[in-house]
Amino acid sequence: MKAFLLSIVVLLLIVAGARFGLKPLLETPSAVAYSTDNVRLD
Amino acid sequence: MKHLTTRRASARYLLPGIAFALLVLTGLVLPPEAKAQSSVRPPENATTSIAPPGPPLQGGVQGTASDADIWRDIRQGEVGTVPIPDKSAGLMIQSQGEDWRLQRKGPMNDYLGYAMLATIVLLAVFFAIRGRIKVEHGMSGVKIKRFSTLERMSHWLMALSFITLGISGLNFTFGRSLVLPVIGKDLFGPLSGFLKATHNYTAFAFMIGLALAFVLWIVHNIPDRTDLNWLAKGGGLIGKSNHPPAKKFNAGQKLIFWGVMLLGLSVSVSGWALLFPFEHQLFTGTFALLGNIGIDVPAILGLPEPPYSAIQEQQFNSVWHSIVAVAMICLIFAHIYIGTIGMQGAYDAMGSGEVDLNWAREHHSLWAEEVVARKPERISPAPAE
Repeated sequence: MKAFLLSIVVLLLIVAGARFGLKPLLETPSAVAYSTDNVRLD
Repeated sequence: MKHLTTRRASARYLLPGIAFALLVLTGLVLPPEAKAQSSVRPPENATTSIAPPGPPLQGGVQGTASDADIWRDIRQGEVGTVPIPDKSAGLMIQSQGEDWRLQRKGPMNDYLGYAMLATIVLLAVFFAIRGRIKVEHGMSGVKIKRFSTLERMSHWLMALSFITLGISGLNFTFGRSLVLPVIGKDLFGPLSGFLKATHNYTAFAFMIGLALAFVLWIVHNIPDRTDLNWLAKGGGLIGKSNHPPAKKFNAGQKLIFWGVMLLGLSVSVSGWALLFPFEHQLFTGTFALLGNIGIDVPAILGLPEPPYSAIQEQQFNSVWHSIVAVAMICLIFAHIYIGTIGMQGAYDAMGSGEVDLNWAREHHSLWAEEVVARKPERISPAPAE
């Protein structure tokens, strides 16, 4: 039981850490995704 | 004097009149082509056509004529040129995307669903025929330490993350047809959004759990001769008093281990490529490697020849990720079955970390004898009555 509970804690820590660190990479706000600011011509 | 003036006036009007008459006559007699010709001949290499250089323009220079060919080419994935940095924007219609969509909405999902259902049915039939595998000599009450806290934590980390990924992943594939009609759009939308984010971030926990399990158990999962004997006797699953000797992991567990590791690695790599899209050319590279040893995967599967575009790579990743994930789900169904209702005493190994000595002697006799002989501190005596 101890190992099982420990695994839940570790799982949540990893998920929270990944979200904290990778959110800008993995989730693009619609204001950015649909913006034309980054569109330029050669 | 008056007479002289009259003759000069006549001559002044006569010459233009003659010139006018000649012009009229020329216009009536000469052909139209001759009229357009200039008296200055152009050089031999002069461009005489109004069309621009290069191949003829589709649809005519004024674009007034429709041309089915150009639209057919575009529909089939013809790439044009664009003046913006992202040259992939020259692809107006990625035709393989429609194939991918139809594949996902069509037979592929059906087959994946049938595979999972068939696994459950097979396990149910096996349970109905074989029943629960019991400890033949009964529980001794003596416990033997099988897995450490770290080993069990790694197992549950991998297991919990896999279940989370499985549920959220199956929602991508089957949610629209199975869950949406039950809970409605208002709930399905936000729920699917939450599950998508959960899937993305839980993936990292699964990868870490997988790596931990690999490091901790690789030593015990290297195939050896005892595995051949175990497999030859069907692992003792059929018939009673049939307990082929095994070390810490028997051949069946080794198959599960390597299955989980290889499928887990593959699902992780394809998932990584989906998390960070358009950065990897996994299928172009893999098919080229397999082609070097004579396995022409595109020809076997009827796929277009590599190299593939970035969007095609993503489509292949998506399909492959689903197939491998479902294969892993089927494998884990069998693992969960044998670790819970399928075998008496098996769950304790991952529950408390200790198993009954009789269970260990029946299913992992070589390992049990080794622990008894060399590591007696791992044995807990039966509690006093």
